[in-house]
Amino acid sequence: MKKRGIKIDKQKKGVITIFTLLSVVFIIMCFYSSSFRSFYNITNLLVQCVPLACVAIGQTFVIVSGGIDLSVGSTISICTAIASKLLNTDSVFEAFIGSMLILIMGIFIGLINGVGINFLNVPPLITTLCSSTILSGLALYILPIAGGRINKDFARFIFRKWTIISMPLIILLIIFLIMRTILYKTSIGTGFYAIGKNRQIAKSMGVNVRRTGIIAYVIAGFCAAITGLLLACRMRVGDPTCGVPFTMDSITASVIGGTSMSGGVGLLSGTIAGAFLIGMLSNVMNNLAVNQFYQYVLKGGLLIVAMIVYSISGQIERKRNERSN
Amino acid sequence: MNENVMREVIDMINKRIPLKLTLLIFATICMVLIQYILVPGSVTLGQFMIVSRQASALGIIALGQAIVILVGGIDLSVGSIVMTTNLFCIASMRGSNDYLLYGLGLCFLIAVLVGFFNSVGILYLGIAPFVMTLCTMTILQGICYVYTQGAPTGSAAPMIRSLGTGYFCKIPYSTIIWVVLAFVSIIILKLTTLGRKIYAVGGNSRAAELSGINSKAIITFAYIFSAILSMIAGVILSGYLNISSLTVGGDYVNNSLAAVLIGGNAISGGKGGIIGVVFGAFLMTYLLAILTMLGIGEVGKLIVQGIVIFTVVALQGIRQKS
Amino acid sequence: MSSDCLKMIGISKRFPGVQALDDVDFTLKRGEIHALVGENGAGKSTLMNILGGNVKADAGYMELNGKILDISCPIESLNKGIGFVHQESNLLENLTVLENIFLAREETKLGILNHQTMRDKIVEFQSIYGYQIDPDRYVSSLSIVEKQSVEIIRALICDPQILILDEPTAALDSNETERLFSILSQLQNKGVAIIYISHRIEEIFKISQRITVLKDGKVVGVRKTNCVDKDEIISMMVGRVLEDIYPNRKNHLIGKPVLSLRNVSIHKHIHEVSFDLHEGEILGLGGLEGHGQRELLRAIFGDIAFSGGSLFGCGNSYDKVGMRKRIHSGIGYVTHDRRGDGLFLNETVQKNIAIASLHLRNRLGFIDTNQEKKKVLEKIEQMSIKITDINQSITDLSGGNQQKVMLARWLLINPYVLLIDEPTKGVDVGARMSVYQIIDQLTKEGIGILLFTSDMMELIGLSDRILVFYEGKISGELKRGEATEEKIMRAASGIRE
Repeated sequence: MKKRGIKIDKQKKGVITIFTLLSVVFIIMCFYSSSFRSFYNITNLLVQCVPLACVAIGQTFVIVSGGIDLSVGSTISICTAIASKLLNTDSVFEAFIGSMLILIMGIFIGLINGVGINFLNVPPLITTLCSSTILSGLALYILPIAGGRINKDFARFIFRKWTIISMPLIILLIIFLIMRTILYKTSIGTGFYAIGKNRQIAKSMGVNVRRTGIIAYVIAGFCAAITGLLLACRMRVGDPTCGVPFTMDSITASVIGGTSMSGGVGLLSGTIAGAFLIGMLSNVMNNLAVNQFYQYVLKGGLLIVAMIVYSISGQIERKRNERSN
Repeated sequence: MNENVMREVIDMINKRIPLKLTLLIFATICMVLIQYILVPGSVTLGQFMIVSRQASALGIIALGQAIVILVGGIDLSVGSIVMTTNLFCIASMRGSNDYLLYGLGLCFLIAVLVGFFNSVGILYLGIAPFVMTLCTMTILQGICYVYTQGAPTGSAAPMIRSLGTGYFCKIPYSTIIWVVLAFVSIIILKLTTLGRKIYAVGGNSRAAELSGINSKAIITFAYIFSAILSMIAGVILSGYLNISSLTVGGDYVNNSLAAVLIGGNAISGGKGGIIGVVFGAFLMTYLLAILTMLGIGEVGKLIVQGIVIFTVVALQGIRQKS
Repeated sequence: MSSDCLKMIGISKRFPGVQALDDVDFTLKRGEIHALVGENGAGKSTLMNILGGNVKADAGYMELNGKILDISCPIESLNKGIGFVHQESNLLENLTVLENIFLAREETKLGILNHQTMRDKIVEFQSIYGYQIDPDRYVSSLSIVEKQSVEIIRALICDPQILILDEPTAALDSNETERLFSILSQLQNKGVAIIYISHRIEEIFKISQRITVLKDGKVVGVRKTNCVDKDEIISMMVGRVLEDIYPNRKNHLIGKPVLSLRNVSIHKHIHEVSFDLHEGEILGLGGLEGHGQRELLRAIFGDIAFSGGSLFGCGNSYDKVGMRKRIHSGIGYVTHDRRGDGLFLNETVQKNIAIASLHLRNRLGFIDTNQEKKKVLEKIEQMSIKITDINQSITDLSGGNQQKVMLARWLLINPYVLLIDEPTKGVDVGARMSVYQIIDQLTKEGIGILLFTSDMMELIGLSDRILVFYEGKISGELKRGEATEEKIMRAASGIRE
């Protein structure tokens, strides 16, 4: 029997947990609320979750390789700010070129983070915190308040819908497939897991730790830029502070999806499920007409519950291993 | 040959002056000079006192954060504890001294509970400190929003007000509290067995455990200590602002982390001191004050702040290596 | 000479506080098994780490097949045909066997990993050499022996010209050792040159053709194995007669029991073991690594729990007493992983020594620093630990002095039992002798010492009595004078007399 990506086998259990949780919430809600199960709401829900899922994929790369990226939120902000200037044209072609430039900028931001961490040896937390501060300053410089304009045709194209299928979902799928290939099917992907577990040993086994580390941040920057573009097209304007919640939410999504904060463990499918779970929460709140403020409590509670489940299932696993050995 | 001579010279300097501080003292002098050149006549003791009052809340929070980082953790819940304290302090005192003790007691209780909650999650459920305190942060924020329905009301007791705004011999009360707490922290770290154990747990928790140290108790202490200090900062801020606000705690998480790391403490734990952290908090506030004086807007402040923090931490790292 | 495939000429390396290698020459012929022997700290590992790309030499050069060999990182060494099997597992636990074997040199097709080719290569390799490990298993689920096999496969899968094996048999029983030897002779026939590092002189004589002896970072001599006998090699290694290294304990008096174990078990590690440790006795736990000795020491210390049986010390039961209370009552434990879970590497010498006995100098929460300094200096002087300042960083000290710091830490609690796991790991020869003298001195003061060491000569030379462990049970008990390497190995392989 040939097996597709081998990492799926190992952490499958964690992913099953999160997918079960996701579907339980979904099914309960479908029974409970008629407005929730409406076709319109569900297609909307799927689209709503895409930006977070996108940036969380990038965050997963960084966390798996043993770092953390606190600058994704500001990257998103600055991308929408720039988009509102660059995509403020009447030509779809120019808008397309503009969006390419924004993606390149995202990559560049990731590169700077990566170099600061891997060559100047400043801890990831502080490097990305500083770049986050600087980027949010720059975003406010480019666009002091929400405004600008996004080319209407381009934005419409990005958010096109065909019944349940929509362009954002297709974009997410493409990104997922590309990133999945990188993470599970290339040598650099194995490198992320290697340096996340133990940089020293990985280095002694011949992994180019600095290059691998930088690439993780580049991917995070790229994913954040895509999220920025999606948000800009959805709002049709730029907003210099719209990215703020995405930093912590992307980490939360990644961790709920089974990624270990200490590095070396994590799967993309889990992260996406985590992002959809978080995205679904606000939708559920609306549908149940619950006070929006409870969202915070629930998000925190959900994270703790997920962590407890992982810690218990980890212990059970360990005990079972001990018994079988 | 040359390399050896260089190394010996560096060793010699290392032994004479705690090098971690030289960078910070140098940075302070530079900033005073910059202020002196750019805004002549503004360098006064009074102005320093105002900056120190502004820095005191951040400074106190950073002390707690420093202890948590010393034991190898991280506390993201400090900002939301400040917010919660601010809210409950103001709401329970209702602008009267009669309810002072009740309000303070309530805040203290909340702080201890939150610190305990953090440590339980980290020690007994095995949740990474970053994630656990992130949860706490989100939950506390939620509780505050739900409690106030987004529109907080009330005002601080007069005694708390004077604590936040008053002076003792031209020194702000809040600065005095900050300095006293810093001294207490230094004494704990340098002179007590507890301090010794804090460094041990942060430096090598397994070795600490094998030397008979109850590392769980030490870590619990660190998180509760941090929560209580954040609460004190919250009370001082409440006195200063006299209103409660749902945005008050916002920057303290990032800034307290930055202050600790600027002070030359290692993010991995077990290494560093308190004086550097005090300097770190003061420098960050001072930097913002100078920028304000120069009429630089929010944008410039953010950018300069980011660059300065990164540079200082990078320099600390390079220096520690040599 | 054309048959020389590797030459290392004039290699020198200095670490802080110790000259690890001093102008060492080493040559290796194609198709030979060349043993590299020497005591702990003689420089064997450093020399091999230079060849393996983990360490850069200060001076000297290397030639591979007549060409200058310049290695700056481990993968370069591997790519140039030098495989290295480390003494301690150097694998990533979160990756599979396959990923570990091919890490950083994966087989790819257009940038995409070709798992099938890699798997086929491993399966083919395993069928030739008789290994059976599923390539898709995670390394975290493997046993020590399997992990070592993975390391060997990683080193061999790219057809190296040279294979370095650092203490490969430390955890292998006699069957597994035999199998390793047959693999090595297969490789030898294919023309692979093997550098074999071992403490076990018997093995070396069994398989090697030449022996290079290192001592204190210098080459003492290179000998053909069939022109030399064991005693000569040992005296070359040690440079003195054995009796002079180990303390003379023939007339040493042993008192009443201080620590008694009755039918103790540790889940999966120890089964129903009973013995007594006496006052002033050095009791050695022998046998191969991984047969429960380490766990036994840790369980006596209270770090892991006994699953059954009872432990008495000085007449008191320890069954419901935790680690901290045991420390306070006078049980100390010197770990084998000094840098990992022993020392506080960013602390000073004083703090490292004082850490376990803080409770004795606690004045209302404050530390009595004067008394602490006095006590610490007393121990430093007593054990002649070489330091320039009591506030010196612990990392500036040599391995031997660090080990003495570990001992000093536990002596400050006034112990009556000291558990020592590997007393002289990573300790140079001079310091070893003084560690032995310290241990001897302690027993004269009545302290009972329970130690585990994987160095057979040390075990025999130091212990008053040896308990050999096999699969968690005592498979032999040998008194001073009757213990020999052969007897211990027989018991350690489970062969009952």
